[in-house]
Amino acid sequence: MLKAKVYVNLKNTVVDPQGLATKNALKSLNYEREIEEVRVGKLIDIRLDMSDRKKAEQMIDEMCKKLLSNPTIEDYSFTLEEVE
Amino acid sequence: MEFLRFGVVVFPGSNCDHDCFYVLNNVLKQDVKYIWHKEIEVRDVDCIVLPGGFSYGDYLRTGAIARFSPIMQGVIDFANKGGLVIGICNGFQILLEAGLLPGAMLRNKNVHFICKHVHIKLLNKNTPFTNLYKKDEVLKIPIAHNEGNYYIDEKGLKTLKENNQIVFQYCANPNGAADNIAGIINKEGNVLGMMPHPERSSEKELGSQDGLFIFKSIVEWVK
Amino acid sequence: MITSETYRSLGLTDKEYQKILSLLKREPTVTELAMFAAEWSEHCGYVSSRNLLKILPKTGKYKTLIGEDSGGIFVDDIAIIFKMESHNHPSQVEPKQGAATGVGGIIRDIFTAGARPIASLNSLRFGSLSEPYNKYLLQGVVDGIQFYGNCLGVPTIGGEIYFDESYNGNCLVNAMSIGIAKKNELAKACAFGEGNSIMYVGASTGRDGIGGCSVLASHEFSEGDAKRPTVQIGDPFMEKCLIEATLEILSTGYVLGIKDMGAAGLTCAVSEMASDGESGIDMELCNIPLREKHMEPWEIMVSESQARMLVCVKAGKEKAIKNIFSKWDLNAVTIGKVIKDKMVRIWDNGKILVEVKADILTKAPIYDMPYKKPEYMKKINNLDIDVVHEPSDYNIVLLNLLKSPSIASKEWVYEQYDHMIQLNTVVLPGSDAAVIRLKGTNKAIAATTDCNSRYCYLNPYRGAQIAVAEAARNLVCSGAEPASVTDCLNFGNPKKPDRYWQFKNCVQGITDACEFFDVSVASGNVSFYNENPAGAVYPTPAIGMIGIIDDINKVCTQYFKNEDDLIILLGISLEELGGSEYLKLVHELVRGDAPELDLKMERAVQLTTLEAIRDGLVNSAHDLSEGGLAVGLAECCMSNKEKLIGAVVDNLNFDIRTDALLFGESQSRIILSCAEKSLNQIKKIAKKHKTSLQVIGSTGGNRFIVSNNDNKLIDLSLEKLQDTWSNALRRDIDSSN
Repeated sequence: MLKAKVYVNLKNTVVDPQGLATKNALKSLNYEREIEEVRVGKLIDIRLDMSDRKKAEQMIDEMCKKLLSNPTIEDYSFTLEEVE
Repeated sequence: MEFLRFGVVVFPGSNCDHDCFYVLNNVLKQDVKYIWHKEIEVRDVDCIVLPGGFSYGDYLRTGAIARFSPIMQGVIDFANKGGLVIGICNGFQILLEAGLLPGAMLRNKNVHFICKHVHIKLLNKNTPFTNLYKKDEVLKIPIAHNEGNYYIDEKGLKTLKENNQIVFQYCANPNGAADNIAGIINKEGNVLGMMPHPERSSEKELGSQDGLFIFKSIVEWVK
Repeated sequence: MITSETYRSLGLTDKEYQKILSLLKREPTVTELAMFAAEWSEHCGYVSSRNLLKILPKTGKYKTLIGEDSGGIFVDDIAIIFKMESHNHPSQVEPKQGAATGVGGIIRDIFTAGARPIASLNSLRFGSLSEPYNKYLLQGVVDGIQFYGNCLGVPTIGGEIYFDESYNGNCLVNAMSIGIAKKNELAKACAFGEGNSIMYVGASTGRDGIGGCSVLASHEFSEGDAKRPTVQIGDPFMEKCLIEATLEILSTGYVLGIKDMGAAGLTCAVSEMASDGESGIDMELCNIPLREKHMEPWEIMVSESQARMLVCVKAGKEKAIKNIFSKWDLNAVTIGKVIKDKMVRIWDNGKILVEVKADILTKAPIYDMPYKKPEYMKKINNLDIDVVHEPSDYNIVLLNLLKSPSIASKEWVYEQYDHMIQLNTVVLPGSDAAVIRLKGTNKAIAATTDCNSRYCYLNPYRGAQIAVAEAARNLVCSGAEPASVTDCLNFGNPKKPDRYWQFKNCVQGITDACEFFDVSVASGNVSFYNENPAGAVYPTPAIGMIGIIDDINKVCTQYFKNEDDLIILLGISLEELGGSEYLKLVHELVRGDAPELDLKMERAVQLTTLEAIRDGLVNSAHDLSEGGLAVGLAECCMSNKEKLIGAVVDNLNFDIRTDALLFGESQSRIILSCAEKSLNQIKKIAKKHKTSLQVIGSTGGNRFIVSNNDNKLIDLSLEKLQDTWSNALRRDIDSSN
């Protein structure tokens, strides 16, 4: 079994209203000085019933392009690991 | 042709489907049918309406899952053949995800759902959807959305402007949309996406009839 | 072996356990015990309140239907089904999900009755916004309501929100929903006909809300965070599909009964469907769709996972039902059948787990609770008005009142709710009552929620009467005839005699007022144990009332329409300040008695207003409530954002203190505006009903001016008023975020 962790984030060039709101909230909790930027993204866990890593990578990449991210506004990345 | 045939697509989670049906059928007295999202082909309609709502709960990304419903290939084929398609609110978001219109939707700048009447300015009256309005007319039409903050890169925006594709602009930007964009049309001029809900401003009792002329324009155009 | 620790931890008393033993004539199985505990809890069984609730009127001028899980009235061949329900404790723990599932639950009660939900309202109470947690609660609750209601496509058209320290640590979230059906389309919540099938439809079962029913709702609230795991998670998308699928199966004619799995989940649904259908149910647990592994049978039986229903289907028609649910990608499985003997029999893979008579489970014990007039009343009921100093600047007082979050505009809230979907909302939020039209007819429904709990604290009986009277007054101001009530009764620990005294008096007040106005109480809900370490919350019998407008062209709103209209005050202003927002805000006093209420005068004022609206004489009508005359008039000037209209009020001539005149909260008063030519006819109507009427000024200009004998009491620009009132809540919320 393989497990993919897919991270989807808004591109750096795109304004992130959720990130901004979260940043302001954190600032009001007295993290005023330390916080530089907050971006809110998604983490998608996918368990795959296969062992071929290369094939899995290809497949996840395809999923990201097709559905999991919107290339107009989002970037994605993922990791693959063996699981029980 | 006596009546126009409208098809209102129903995705699971669509919730303005009944409203669009009601206005087209009861107010405008046209022929309307629902098209279930599992159908694979669009048949016997003159205009497709992708209604507002929360298709698939807006899960993952608004419009992203609906875009893969079987009917969407049919909608794309229909549009490519020049058929008229109007996407309202969630319908607009689906058209963006499906690539029938350029750009994408972000969350509203204030991170809240916004439901209220807004004023929008007509920029392009030479479309199948707006031909009955006066030039530069200002319309009072409600918005109701979480993700209406339209995004497009600068190059894309330039193209939109060059081709007169921006059809509606907010008079006062409610959601952070690029260039105050409230509605756009494709280059070919047969696919319109708009965030405001014209079906909610189609009757006197509801405070505005400004939206009705979008549907009337469609009827006028096809006739 | 069941120990006293086990049943006590489930909330059963020793006496109750003994009763179970004697009814069963044996020791219950663990699953049976869990089912008893759930059914006999306060939340499901209404054990401390049922005796009193009996007195609420079940009939009124509109034919009333009292259903199993909701109620309603008939207007021609349309059934209007409505109910209000609390979700207080879950919202205090996790405001977004708590409020969301509260909305989901009440809407399921509506569509399982066979009615399509067409509108929602709510009644919310929070502690002071100066506490960051209360701000978090307000934002979370509003977020939950919008998240759920907007996705479902049911407009949230109205409601009320009040803030008071008494709700610190225990907010109130009462959700109301309204649906409509053709008279003959209504569904029943029972199972009958030997051999018919019992089907489970909707979402899968997980461990959501396990113990929530008997543990969460039956204990005073102190250790919030520890109880977080029992929070239910709402899935409005699933429920939207469930609404469509349910209304579709009900139209087949194959469904004999249907019931939502709400509080106490499957347990309540199975036992009450059997008991109400005077039959039994035999069912097998292994077919139930589960979301989590290794669930114990008792966990399955009391799980409160959302969006599940139990359906009794004509034998042989299961496939048709299943097909409709698969169309919407939802579960529908046959899990049992109706049997003749009135037993609930539950098997787990062929092994018998439960064998109990259905009505033993559903007949929870009823208790007569001791009651005693609370001590605090002696201390606070006296108010020496002479020690209350008249303020020096009434402009400042008015602005401060308009800024107070209980009075300030709720635009920040209702802009987040989709209040227009379904194309019926004729009067948008922001007027006295919301109005939705009934498509295909010339009629409309007006709806409101109301309760001034400070009045109920000072005088539970009269406070509850005022809640009913004011709800009716709100409806009348929109042009509607008050028709029927749903009540959501929020009180403290019923085992404490002073709390129970409040409860008893409020129920009596509602009863007497409803009987006087000839409106029924079609449905309702009780929420006890609303306490914080400082004591009980204010007694809060929230009244949801609907009214009928026979001619949709005769709808009225609260704001002034034209320049140079006359301003009329109906009713009498007394020199009373008890329980007023002014007294609390300016003098920091919660004292005195609730305002006087003369029901006959109330009716006269309402009849006058209604007749004048129906005769087309009136341009606006607004009820006076919190903040009194000055606030009410200011609202008339500015609640239409698109067209502010000023007023000059210079003919007051009242022989009472100025602060009582401007800010006192005397009941039974309505502000009308009309063209000069209509005045005589309105006067005639008022005379007929023996209503006091006074022309107090006229509309126009861009200032709000109140003067008394050439002495300007209030003089403010509309921009200042509007900015203060409409942005106050937004500013409060943003102030530290």
